[in-house]
Amino acid sequence: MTGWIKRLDWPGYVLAIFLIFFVLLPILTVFIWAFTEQWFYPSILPTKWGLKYWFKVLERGDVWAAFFTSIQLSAIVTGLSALICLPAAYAFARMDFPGKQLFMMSFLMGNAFPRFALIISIAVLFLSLNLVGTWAGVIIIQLLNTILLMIWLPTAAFQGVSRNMEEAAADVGATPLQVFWHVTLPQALPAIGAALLMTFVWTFYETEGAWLVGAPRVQTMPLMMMSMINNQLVVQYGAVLSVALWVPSLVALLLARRVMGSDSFAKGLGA
Amino acid sequence: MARLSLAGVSKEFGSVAAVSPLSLDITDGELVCLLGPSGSGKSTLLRMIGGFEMPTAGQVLIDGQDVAHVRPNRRPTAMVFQSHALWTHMNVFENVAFGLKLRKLPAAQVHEKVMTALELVGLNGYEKRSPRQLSGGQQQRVAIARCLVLEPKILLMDEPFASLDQHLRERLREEVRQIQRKLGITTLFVTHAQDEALALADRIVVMSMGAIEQVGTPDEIYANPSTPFVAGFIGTMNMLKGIAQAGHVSAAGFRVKADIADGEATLAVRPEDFVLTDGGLAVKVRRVVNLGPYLLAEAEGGDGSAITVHIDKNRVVREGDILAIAPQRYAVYREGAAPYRSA
Ligand SMILES: Nc1ncnc2c1ncn2[C@@H]1O[C@H](COP(=O)(O)OP(=O)(O)OP(=O)(O)O)[C@@H](O)[C@H]1O
Ligand SMILES: [Mg+2]
Repeated sequence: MTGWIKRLDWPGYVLAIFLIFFVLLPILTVFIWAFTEQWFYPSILPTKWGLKYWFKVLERGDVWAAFFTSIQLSAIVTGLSALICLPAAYAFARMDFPGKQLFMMSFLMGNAFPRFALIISIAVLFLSLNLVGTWAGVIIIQLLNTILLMIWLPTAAFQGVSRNMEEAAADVGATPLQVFWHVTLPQALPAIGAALLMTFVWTFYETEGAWLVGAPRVQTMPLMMMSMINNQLVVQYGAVLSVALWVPSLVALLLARRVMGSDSFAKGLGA
Repeated sequence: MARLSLAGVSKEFGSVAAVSPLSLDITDGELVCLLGPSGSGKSTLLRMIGGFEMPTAGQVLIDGQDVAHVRPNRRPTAMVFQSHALWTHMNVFENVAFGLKLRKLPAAQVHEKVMTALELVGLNGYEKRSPRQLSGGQQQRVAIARCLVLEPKILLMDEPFASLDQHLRERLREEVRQIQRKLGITTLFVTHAQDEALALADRIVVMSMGAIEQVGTPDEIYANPSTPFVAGFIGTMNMLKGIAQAGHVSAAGFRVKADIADGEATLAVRPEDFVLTDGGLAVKVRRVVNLGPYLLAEAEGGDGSAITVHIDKNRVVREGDILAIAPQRYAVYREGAAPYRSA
């Protein structure tokens, strides 16, 4: 760590200042606003601190409803994504079939396309299918968004499992299914866990798709937050929700790092 | 415990013939080394016996039963891989116990067998360790225990010690030899290190380009290599290009008797098979290396070809000296004919 600081030369300083201004400062501002009860103009810090707006936000039924909607949506999307993508990832990693390369490329291409344009065209399609404003519509559009991550990461994980390890298991008497269950899966699990967690967190915060396809009938947490920030004169509502939403994802990521060990987590991320 | 026969076994990967049709019989309790340079098909042959590759043609017979197309989990073979291939999400005990648990043995019996196997490879007390916490040599011992605990009929080892240092390799191969003797288990051991093969094997199978060059005991192979390839591959051999004519071969200035058809031929002499004699060929010493028990002289023959000679260490030889040497024991190889050997 100290070595890293010592090696910090001018590009490092520029980067540090950049990070402070564009990442840390906004986060800090949001944090301060969340615990502010009163802030009059010339003062640098709030004139009155307090938790008043936390209570106000947490008292609201629509906030809790949106929270549970988001949790349920994320869980369903993650589950479905795993169900569809994990077998596909295994097939990509371990089997040979015509068009395999093309398939993999098509996922990339889909994601290289400007996302918003893609989502709008899907929303238009959904309109004609009567999927707009339904849970099914939101689930499908968010599912589409998770496919790249849920196929690429686990494919890399399955490919990374040593063939010799699998052969050794077959050698001591394991059937192909047992080999998969006792060796391949546990070996790929850290990376798959990382993919699942990222999918969940990512879906929880997904906004554009939920907004275009779901709003206003399907109200997710980020949509709730958006409307609070946009329509309310009181800044604190948005700030409180931001902090409240930021903490669980941070905790989840830290937890993931602990459970999986930072090294396999990095491997899951392709490092 | 078992007899292994290969009958016309071959393997092609697309257009690459990794193993050409070959046959081989290994008797019960024998330790056979497959020796050959990289790419000669040793691993492919071993993997066909273990069931990891299906032969393109031929039979793999274990105690007379063809298993060529049986899955590895149904074969009475066990394999030790070069990359130990231990399961890193299980500890040492679980690694060794896995095969027994698949066989649904009662826990007490599993425990007893695992402990016996770990004891056999000198790893008692290491059950709780993760494979990552073991040294390379210990990891290979676990891999060996994992195989032996299942009491396989045939043990297959693919360069198990290739990534270990020389000292450890020598120790482990002695241990493998002892264990193999004790259990009397039929074993195939792949290596590209000739010292390993010479030290370990009851018989050596020398392979080159997917075919068997020679099968024999270490002594036979060393003393009477049957092809120029084997001659050049095992130990040090001076391979001198020359001409056979009228019952004699001339090469590098030597002229020796050889009952072989006229034409191009190769005179093969081991460094220790030269004698210093007044009537010999005068060669000029280019370099002298002291190898302890003897001196190794690199000399230049009549036509400039390099000749390696062992010389008694009591003799004083220096760079630039002229020595008179003659091959005392030699072989002559000629394409399309059986080699000629001096008496
Ligand atoms: N799965 C495969 N697909 C295509 N070719 C292969 C495959 N496995 C082996 N080969 C080829 O077959 C030949 C023999 O390979 P093999 O691994 O058996 O050699 P080896 O004697 O074990 O060599 P080494 O000492 O390097 O391990 C090589 O030319 C190799 O390229
Ligand atoms: Mg090999």
